[in-house]
Amino acid sequence: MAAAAAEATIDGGGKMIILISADGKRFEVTEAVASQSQLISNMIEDDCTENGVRLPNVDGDILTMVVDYCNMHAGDAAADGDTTKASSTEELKKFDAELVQALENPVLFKLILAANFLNIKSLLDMTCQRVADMMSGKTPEQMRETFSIENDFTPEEEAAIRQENAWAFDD
Amino acid sequence: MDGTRSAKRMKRFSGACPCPLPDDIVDEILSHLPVKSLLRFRCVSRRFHATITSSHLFQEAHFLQRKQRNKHPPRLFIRPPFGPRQPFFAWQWQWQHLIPRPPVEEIMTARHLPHGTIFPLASKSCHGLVLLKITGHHTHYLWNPSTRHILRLPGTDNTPPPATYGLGYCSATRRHKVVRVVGCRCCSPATVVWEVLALDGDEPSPSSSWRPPAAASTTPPPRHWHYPARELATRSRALQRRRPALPPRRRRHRHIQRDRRIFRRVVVEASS
Repeated sequence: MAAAAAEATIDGGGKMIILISADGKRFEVTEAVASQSQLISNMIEDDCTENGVRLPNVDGDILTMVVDYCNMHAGDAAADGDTTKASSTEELKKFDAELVQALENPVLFKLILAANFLNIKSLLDMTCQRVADMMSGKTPEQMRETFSIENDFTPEEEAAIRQENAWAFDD
Repeated sequence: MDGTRSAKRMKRFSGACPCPLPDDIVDEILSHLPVKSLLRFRCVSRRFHATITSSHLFQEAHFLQRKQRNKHPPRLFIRPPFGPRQPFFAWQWQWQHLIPRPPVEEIMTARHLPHGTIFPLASKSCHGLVLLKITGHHTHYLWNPSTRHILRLPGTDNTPPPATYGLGYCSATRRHKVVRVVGCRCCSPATVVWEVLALDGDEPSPSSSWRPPAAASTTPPPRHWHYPARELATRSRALQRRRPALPPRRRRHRHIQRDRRIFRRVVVEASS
């Protein structure tokens, strides 16, 4: 453990932080990686990460994805003016796309909730964009189904609203 | 009917089919959607309708989100000057190619507008809205190209032709304002009166009417209107020509300020 921490210090990552998921899985990440989460970043500032950070809202498999994402993007903020940045930006885009591409809605929603809880803005933006892309061509009925929303309009009211912007319903 | 509806609500709140995401995250997702989808989703539920239609906060978030995503958002919508029933088109600004390109999108036909030559007073929107002038009718319309809403400006029918119009966005109050400048030659000394109409979204706010700007002392509107001084017209045209080149958001407030300065100067010169 001490050796691992020492290695990490040599890599320039600084102190190691342990994240503990709701189902008890432990993830060891560097401070630089973890502080992409505004929540953890604040905890680091307040010095309360000594005994690991418990994340009761985040499952192990979701946290795996979040940690993968943070590992990939760790150099992002630090590498301003780096010449290799252009190529790595491409790689990051590819990685991001692959991360969310195959996810089913329930998993994607959990990932969004985790990004929101951990306060990782870039991940939240990306996942919300992914859901929006999937929803953009959908009908109101499909939208209700996806988000389990009850239609609280009367049929007449709904018809009137549809009439107001009939062009939006053309394909 | 009310009974069934409240029963339905009870069912929703009792957790029978809970929405998997909290409202603020659903709103965040909505802010990533294109306008056409949003207009469709207004009929999903009352909450969606309220958020999309009347939440300033949401509209601002959506505007910024779209702007951030589309690096070159200023699409120029130019209507061919001939043929009153021809549609408006959108052009994509091409930084690399200065050759004219075919339009990327047909926005809408002008069938809801009266006959006459219609032209936008700027080739780009001012924070989402465009001022349209219809010659021959002396009427002005506000147009939201994204939602396709068209609004006839109130009080434009009684005003004879010489008024010159301009549109600005005040980022402090998050409101569009239309400025109208009217000149009168028969009064002595010659006067130029300018008035402001505050808007709420793409509609006039309930309490608003044309009024003199708060910061300026203006003479009351004269009884007979004439074409404004040639100089004023020229200046206003120059102002309109310049307007398309001032997009970035942080400059917008100053933009209005600058309009005011110019108008004020005109007032002084014309009445002296």
